Amino acid sequence: MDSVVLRARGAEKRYGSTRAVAGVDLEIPEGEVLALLGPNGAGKTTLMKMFLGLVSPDSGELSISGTSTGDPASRRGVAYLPESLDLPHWSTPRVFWRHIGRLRAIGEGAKGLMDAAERMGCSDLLDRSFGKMSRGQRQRCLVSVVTAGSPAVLLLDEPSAGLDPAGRVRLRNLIRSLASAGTTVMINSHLLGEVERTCDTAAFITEGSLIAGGRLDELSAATGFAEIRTPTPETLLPWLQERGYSADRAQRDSLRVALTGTDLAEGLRSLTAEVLRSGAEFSSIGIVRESLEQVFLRLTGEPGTEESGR
Amino acid sequence: MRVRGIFLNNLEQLLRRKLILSGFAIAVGFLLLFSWPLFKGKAALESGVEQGLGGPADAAIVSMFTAFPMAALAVVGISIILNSSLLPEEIGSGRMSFWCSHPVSRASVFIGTTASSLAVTAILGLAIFGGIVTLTMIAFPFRLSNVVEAAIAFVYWLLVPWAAVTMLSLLVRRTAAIIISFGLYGVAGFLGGLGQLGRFLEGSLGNAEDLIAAGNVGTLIMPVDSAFRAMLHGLTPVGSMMSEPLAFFGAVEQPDPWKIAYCTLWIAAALLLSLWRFRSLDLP
Repeated sequence: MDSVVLRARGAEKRYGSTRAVAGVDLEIPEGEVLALLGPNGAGKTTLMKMFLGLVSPDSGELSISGTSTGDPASRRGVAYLPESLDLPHWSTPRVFWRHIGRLRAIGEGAKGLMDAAERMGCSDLLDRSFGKMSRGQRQRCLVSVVTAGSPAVLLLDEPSAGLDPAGRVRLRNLIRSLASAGTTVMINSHLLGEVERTCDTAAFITEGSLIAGGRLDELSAATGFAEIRTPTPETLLPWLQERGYSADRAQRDSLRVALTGTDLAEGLRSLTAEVLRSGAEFSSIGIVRESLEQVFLRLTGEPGTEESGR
Repeated sequence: MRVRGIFLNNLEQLLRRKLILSGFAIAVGFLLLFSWPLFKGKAALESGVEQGLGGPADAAIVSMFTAFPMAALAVVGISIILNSSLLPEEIGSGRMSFWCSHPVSRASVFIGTTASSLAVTAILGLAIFGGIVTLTMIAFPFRLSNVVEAAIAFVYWLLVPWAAVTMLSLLVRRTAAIIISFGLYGVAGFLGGLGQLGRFLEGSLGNAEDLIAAGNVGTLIMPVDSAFRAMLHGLTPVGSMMSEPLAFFGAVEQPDPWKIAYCTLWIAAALLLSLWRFRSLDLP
């Protein structure tokens, strides 16, 4: 049986002469959490809306669980939280939930909402009007309402916006828990730290085209540096420098060392042998891979961002 | 089922809008203002101070037909202002995208959303027109000549500007939609009035045919005038000495069958065009 839940084949959308989405092929299997990444205006939100049938493709095919997105039935079991949703000030999460319940095919019990609200830490806000909430409280409630009832597919556009660190942790835990229960998740976010902690895979889009995609660990390239975690960096640092290594303090308990030669594995072996010879304590040693931010900057090739790319 | 859900959601939202609350406040104020001279007139008629009105049916028709044009303006005005922003606001706020991300067709969303505004406008119209008729009946007891005709014509009369502004709101900016809708309503009403005068004066006025033709042009532009006059015709008190009572700019009478058919087609065309436009929209 086909486990792909979200599928795009040659999806294309033009606005005048601009190709907002340019022939995107994408497949997201069941239970996977995928991040759509790319610069502003890259076409991420448009692609997400094409999956929801809100934007119709000029060509190509998009489907959810095998049903074309042109068919409203494809959105059965799908939950979506847009980046911007202006609800009436008088409305409350519970009223909003009731409104959603009138449109969803499945029956909506109050328990589903309560569970989701407890996970997001906003169960005390369910009867407060949105107009009397802070942005973060509002976002927590909106996340609770759309994720209540464990949807089969969850599409989130900048879901962390306005959330405090605790809220982000709760959101992350909620998404991971839904995914482990089988929910397929697509997230559009610029908060790469959150994406790294939440998502399994990422798809990079620039100027409407999918330029790279895959598991996060596969996307990040080796940097040519090794990191040594040690409780005594002040002892190990001069030892390595005396032996010709270019090294510096990365953090309080770690060193960053440039590996020599073209074979990084061989370079790491030599470095490990040298560290062992020093007799210094260390807990780990390994090749440093790019952060998601570095991957993002490398792939998108944004000019003027060399400093932050380090 | 889904249409009902969308209808209820929007109705709940609309009934909390300041415009609608103001509309109902205007209705109450209007009826209070109307009742003051109405019951003064009743007292005068009963005491014999006022002799020129004839019977209660004539007093009723004069009272009601003075108030109806103003009531019509209030109802149509609120309908146009409300509907000019209804769909654009839902789209602009992101709510429309959200509702359409559910397993519902665009047609269901369109029908549910616009029907809720029609329902609110109809309730408002019923409150004002029903209030005028009821108060007048209390002051000057009479029987309506044709309630069914009045009810059907009322629906047609509401549907025409509602369908027009719904369509325009999806094609042009809000202000333009309001101006064009009011403009069409005004021109159609004026030309319709000329047409009715032409019929009223046919035989006694040389260029009555031209006036009738102007009325037909008004009907073609926006078939709202005949519906309004038919509604007034149905609300005319039985036994009134005025066999062809004058309304705003002309007489009232039952419309020709072609006008009813054309009005139905006009409403259907405007709604189908709106639906086509709404379904083809890429939602932000």
